[in-house]
Amino acid sequence: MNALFFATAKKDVRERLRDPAALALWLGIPIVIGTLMSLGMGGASGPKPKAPLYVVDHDDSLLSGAVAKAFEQGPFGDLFAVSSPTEQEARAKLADDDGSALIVIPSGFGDALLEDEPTELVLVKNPSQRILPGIVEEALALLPEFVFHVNQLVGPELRARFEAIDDDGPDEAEVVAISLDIRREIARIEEFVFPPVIELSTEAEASTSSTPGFSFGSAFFPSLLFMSLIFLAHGFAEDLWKEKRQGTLRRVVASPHGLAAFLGGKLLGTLCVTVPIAALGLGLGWALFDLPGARLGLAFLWLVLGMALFWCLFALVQVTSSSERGANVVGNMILFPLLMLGGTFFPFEVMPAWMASIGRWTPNGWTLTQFRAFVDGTSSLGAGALAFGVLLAVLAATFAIATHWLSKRFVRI
Amino acid sequence: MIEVQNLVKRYGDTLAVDGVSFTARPGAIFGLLGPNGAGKSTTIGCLSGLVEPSSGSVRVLGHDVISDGRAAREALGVVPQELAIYEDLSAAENLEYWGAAWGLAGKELGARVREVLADVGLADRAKEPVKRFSGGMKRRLNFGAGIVHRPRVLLLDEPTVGVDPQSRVKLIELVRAEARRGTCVLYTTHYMEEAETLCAQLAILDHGKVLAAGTLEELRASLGERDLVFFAGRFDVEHARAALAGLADVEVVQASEAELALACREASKRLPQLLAALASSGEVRETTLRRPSLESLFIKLTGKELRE
Repeated sequence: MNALFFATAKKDVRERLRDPAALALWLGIPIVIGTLMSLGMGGASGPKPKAPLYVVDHDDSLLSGAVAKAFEQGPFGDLFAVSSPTEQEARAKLADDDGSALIVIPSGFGDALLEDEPTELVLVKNPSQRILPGIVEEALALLPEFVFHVNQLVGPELRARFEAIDDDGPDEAEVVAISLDIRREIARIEEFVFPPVIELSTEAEASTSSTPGFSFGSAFFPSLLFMSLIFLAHGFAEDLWKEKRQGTLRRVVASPHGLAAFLGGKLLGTLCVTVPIAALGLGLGWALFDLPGARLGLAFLWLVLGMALFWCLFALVQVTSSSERGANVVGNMILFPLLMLGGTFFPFEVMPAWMASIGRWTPNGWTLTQFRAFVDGTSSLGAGALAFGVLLAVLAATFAIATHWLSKRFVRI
Repeated sequence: MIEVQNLVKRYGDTLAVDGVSFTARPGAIFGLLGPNGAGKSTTIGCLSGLVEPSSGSVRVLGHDVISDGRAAREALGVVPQELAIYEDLSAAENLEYWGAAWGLAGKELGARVREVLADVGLADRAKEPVKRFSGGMKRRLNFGAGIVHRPRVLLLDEPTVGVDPQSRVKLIELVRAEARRGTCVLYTTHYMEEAETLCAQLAILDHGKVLAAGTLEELRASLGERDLVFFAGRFDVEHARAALAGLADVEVVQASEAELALACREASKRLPQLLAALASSGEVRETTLRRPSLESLFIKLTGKELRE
């Protein structure tokens, strides 16, 4: 490496630190956007996107139907669109990345519950999604505990009632009778049971939120982190036109070390500023937002290289544009669709399948998906090495193309 | 040493530089004189690597700027016409950056930065952000950034444009000091007086071509020591030409209905004769007499005054 490379990096860091307002703005925009998006997603008005959930009920009993219905009601109903295709159809849809999960209820499920005998639910999760399948898994994990308590409280009464129902299923009178039985039993025990049950339910919610499957940390914090870095990369890359406007690029051309060293120095300067921000962000995510830390070091390295890639991509936009205004317009035209598609504004899980499948192949979508895999430790050694190799290759290619455009065209227009 | 041979630069159909040749030597200031758009900055661009020549050869200290660009640029210092400094950094940080960009480091860099700051008169403002500087101070810093690494060849592209008189004097002193140090200085300007004061050798450019080249004495001699006389007013051009043709050693270098420019020896003594000759050709409202100079040579060569 040569003198111009390090001198440019040092100079750029100095300039960045002289302008903390710009840094705060670039970091602040994603936080504001993230907050607004969260409010928008959590608000009561407006349609919310729902993820397909398939339930295949081989038991076809009252209790198995209740399990399926549970995912259509309350907060689950806001997240899932439940349907009941055949098991083969459902598996095919999941294989096509269409849907979040499949629940298969086996034959004899209802009887096993009533008799307090072992039974098994099959959950098939979409491997390319994490949050919504995680919610389904957590909800199903609570089911055995719920059934145990119900059996303890009203098991004999329910069994007697269900035994009285003929093969055609319960008629209206029997449903009313079962309801009244349950209501009566609840009234009998509510004085003793409900306070602790309510508290228990609250604890169960708290423990659910700390699981890696769908915590704020793993669900939204990486997106916010990537959004901040992408905004920084975009803002820092715009600096190339500033160099041109203020004439310093012309003087650099006359220096002996070449424009690759200059561009590399600018990239290094960008990383020198963003690496502490990324480290702080990861630390905050780990400490405050339950960001899982299985491979935090690898995730950090990935974040830094990802930042380098984003900067090179936006630098390429800058040097291929024929005016500063054009570069700004094109940069924004690329930035916002990438953020929308690439899982940065909206998690992939709530996107339509076709959009998510495109988004996962955008630069930020791909790096975000890999980052999550590093964070929660689901990336194998081979897959991780391959991902790093691909990222480094794309980074090198983008840098080389940007340098070529910088020296052959940008400095001369 | 700078050697330029048959340099041509085309932009589409436009010929910005058309077969320019000259040689600039160490320890001397070579002036490229010409109006805006004459091709001076394009020539400097070809020397610094910013502009790729269409044809011809450009060598710096014997190194071809295209095939051996790095070696050529190691010797170069450039002071572009527009400012090329970082406004958010201080004067010292600017010099530090440009010195490091040419390979200076450590104590040598620090010492050289202090030296240049003192030379350009900014030592007491060294740590201040450049954006607070006046235009003249920025110009001086711009110059300092071009010499901080002690270049052996210095390219100065109109370094005094828009500079206050005090800073101009300072800059011209600094240019002379660089030449005294043994640096080969290429100085472009459209200020005739600057070129006359500074340059040992000159080339006059217009429309991308060298119209005349040589030492100041050689160029003056080519004018024949004749004065230039300008008559402003209203003239019948053909009648005026005919009337002046009868006078010995008088040359009409420019003629229009509003102005006549004549070259003649000892014009001050011959003014009554000239006015009498023009009496029947129109009305003279203003008379200007100029001693032989680069400007009068330029007018003789191009038939027009130097454009700003």
